[in-house]
Amino acid sequence: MNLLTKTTLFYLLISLVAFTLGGGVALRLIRTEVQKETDYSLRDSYRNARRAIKGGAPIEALNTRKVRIDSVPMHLVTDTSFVFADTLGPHPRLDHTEPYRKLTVTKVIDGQAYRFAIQDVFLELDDSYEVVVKIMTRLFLILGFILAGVMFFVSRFLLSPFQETLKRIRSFNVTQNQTPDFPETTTNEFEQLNAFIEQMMQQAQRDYRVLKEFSENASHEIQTPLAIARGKLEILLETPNLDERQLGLIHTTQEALGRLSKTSEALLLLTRIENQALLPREDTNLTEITNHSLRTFSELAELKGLSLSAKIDDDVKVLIDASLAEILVGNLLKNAVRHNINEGWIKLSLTQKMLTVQNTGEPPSRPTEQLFQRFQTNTSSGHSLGLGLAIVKKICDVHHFDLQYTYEKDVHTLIVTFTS
Amino acid sequence: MKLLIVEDEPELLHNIVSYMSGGDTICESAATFEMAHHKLTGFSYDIVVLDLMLPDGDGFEVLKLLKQIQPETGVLIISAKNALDDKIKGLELGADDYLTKPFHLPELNARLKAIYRRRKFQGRDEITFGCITIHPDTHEVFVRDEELTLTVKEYELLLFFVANKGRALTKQTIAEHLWGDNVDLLDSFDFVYQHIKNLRKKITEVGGADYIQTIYGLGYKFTDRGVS
Repeated sequence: MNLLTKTTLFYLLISLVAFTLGGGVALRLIRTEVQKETDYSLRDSYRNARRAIKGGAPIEALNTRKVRIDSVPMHLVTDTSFVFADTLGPHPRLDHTEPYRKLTVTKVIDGQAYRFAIQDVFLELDDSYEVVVKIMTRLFLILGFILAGVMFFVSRFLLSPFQETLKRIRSFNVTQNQTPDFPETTTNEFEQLNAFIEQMMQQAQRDYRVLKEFSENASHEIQTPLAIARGKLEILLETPNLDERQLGLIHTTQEALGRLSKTSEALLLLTRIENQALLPREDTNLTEITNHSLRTFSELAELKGLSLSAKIDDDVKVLIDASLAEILVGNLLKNAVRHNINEGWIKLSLTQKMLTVQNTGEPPSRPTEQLFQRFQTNTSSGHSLGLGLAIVKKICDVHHFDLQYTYEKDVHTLIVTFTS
Repeated sequence: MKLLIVEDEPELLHNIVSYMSGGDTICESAATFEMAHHKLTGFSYDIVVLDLMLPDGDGFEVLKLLKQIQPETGVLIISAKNALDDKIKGLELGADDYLTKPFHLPELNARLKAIYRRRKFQGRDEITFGCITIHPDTHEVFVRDEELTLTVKEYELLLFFVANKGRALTKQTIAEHLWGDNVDLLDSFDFVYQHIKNLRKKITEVGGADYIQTIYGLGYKFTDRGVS
């Protein structure tokens, strides 16, 4: 539910309470006012009767359905104040009773005491209640319509810059270089919001760029000192009469340097793919590349006692940079060789639609999706850097290929589905 | 063999020069485009080892210049950029080989010797080491007069050994020479061992001497020292 609907409903709820209370108050006010008017009119009738009596009219002639005048003996006159009372009386035409207001007073006029009993129909409780409810319902409906109209206007005109801002935030990508253009708005709050968000976006992109440049430069700059160190060790190896311990030290250091160099190379590659520095310009013949990769790995597979079979369609062409295609296929095969079991097998199939690599292997030590993250590796397999699948994933991501990894009954299956 | 090493990083330059110098190899060095230009116009070299990134110019320009004034000189490009484009461009401009940093010095040595052989003898020479004779043009290997039947990898391994004779080679260097970038596979060192075992067996079976010396914990050395 959006903010406006919520506000509207909330407002209507409050109005409902207010109208109910207001209705009660209105009912009371109306009743008091009507009573006052009725009482006034009763007094008026009394004054008319009294004037008539003073004028010498016989009291019989003055008696009506509403006014009743009796002469009473003087000694019975004790109280001459007006007494108002609510009472019930018969309806003039219908067969039921109605509320009446009744004025009773005893007065002495020209030495003769009279008792006046004047009554009039009083506004029915049901009627006044009905009227108030009707009024309130109509008011409520009118308010509802106006509110709906206002909300429509607000959402259509007042809040539209906000919707636009939301749309731009949703489509924001930190890896891209430009920030979205926010539309001009005359509302101060939205203007501030837009300015703030734009600033935040630029900051995020700047930070991202700096980080990216840093990791690229770091990986790059690491290679030179590494090359120097490796060279020095190779020269050191030339020293005659090194003993076994010294040779061992050199060897271990070299291995460590090699690993460091491979890691930074892989990270550099990841960064470059991320930066889309290797976007494809033309189709690459995957059949050729896959066959070439198979030749490279068939020997390694054979040395490990793995049987490698492949079914490759002719002339499979996919829009991907050739060197990335090589890395993609190579990494998948490398992975299949590395994480295999003794006397295991690898099956590869390539069609225009997809590339599938299946291999036997131990069950993965963690959920298969996690293996696409950097430095996530099945620990049992020793020297693996844990970047191979991360690179595969990244290549698939930038080319919008779908990558699936499943494990079932000792078989790992990786499927890359190309988008045409 | 007379080399010119064009490399701006002094320590890398020093590494290459000190590793390659000695025997019948003479190394000269140039750290800038200017110096490379100067040396190339003044002297002739067998091979130029060329870094593409120079502080005062583009390595490709050195290559173009060299191809104009000394077309018979071999060129090996070294570059930190492992971009395929650079490699293709370099080879198109007439470079003989391409090596990306960081590389193993024995690898550089083997490649330089291969370029030298191709340039100097068009591959039609013989490489002799002790009782072993290699014909690089036909990939034939003889021990005395007996021809060996070697697999591709065994042949490459032998050639690598001979190019780096007398030098200690780690298993890693050998593995990377044979399988390139794929050697971070766990068992590649065992594979090296397998190939060496086979090669050694094939040589000694026909009465050849065992030149492959195992250096415990490190790797191997191909040498005739201590071999009767």
